[in-house]
Amino acid sequence: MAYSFPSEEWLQVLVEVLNSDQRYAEIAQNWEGDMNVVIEPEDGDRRHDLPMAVYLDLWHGKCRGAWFINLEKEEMPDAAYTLRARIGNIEQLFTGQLDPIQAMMTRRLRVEGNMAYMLRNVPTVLDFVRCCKEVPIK
Amino acid sequence: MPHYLLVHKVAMYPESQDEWIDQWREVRKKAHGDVEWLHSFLDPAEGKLYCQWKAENIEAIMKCLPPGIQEQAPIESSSEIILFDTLWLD
Repeated sequence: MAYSFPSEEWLQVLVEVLNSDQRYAEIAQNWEGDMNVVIEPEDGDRRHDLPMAVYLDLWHGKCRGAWFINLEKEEMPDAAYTLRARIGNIEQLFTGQLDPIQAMMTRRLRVEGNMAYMLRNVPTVLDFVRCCKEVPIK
Repeated sequence: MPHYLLVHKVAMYPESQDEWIDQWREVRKKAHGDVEWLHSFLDPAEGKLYCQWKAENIEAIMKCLPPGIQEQAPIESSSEIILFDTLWLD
């Protein structure tokens, strides 16, 4: 089954995947870094729901909480990381069409936060994206 | 042109995305003509960076590396290597 992105259904399934995936639990066992992912519209896109953000509380191989943030009405939580990308790039990331390292090196995925910690934990980053790919989007 | 493999021990990672990209772009900008930076592979568990270069000699590669390289990612070893391209089997 494929899920609309972004949607509550997609997010709920992603959290289930992150919290049940043994490999992610092992690889990310030392990860301490919650994040806001800001989903931006494409140029000229007049979608009324974008930009929006999704907050993910990633802690020691589990996702302790996740929710969407309406940026017109709410402020983002003070997270360790804020990632920003256009919706097309995020969809490409989550479907395996865009390599996460390539996305960061080309700034198609912009990272605010401690890059040194992220680079030291590249396997966790890659496995998080692998889990995202487990949730098909349409 | 000979190929070289440089093994760096990463002592300090860049603190920001901009710092990371700017550092790598600086090296890439210098690596042109007779020097080519082909690929880099990071082993995060060991904190090692394996960089494959094509150059006339090792000195040409060293000229591309920023002055602070020995502090940030000191070179543990450099070897002239022979390319075996698996695409040649196709």
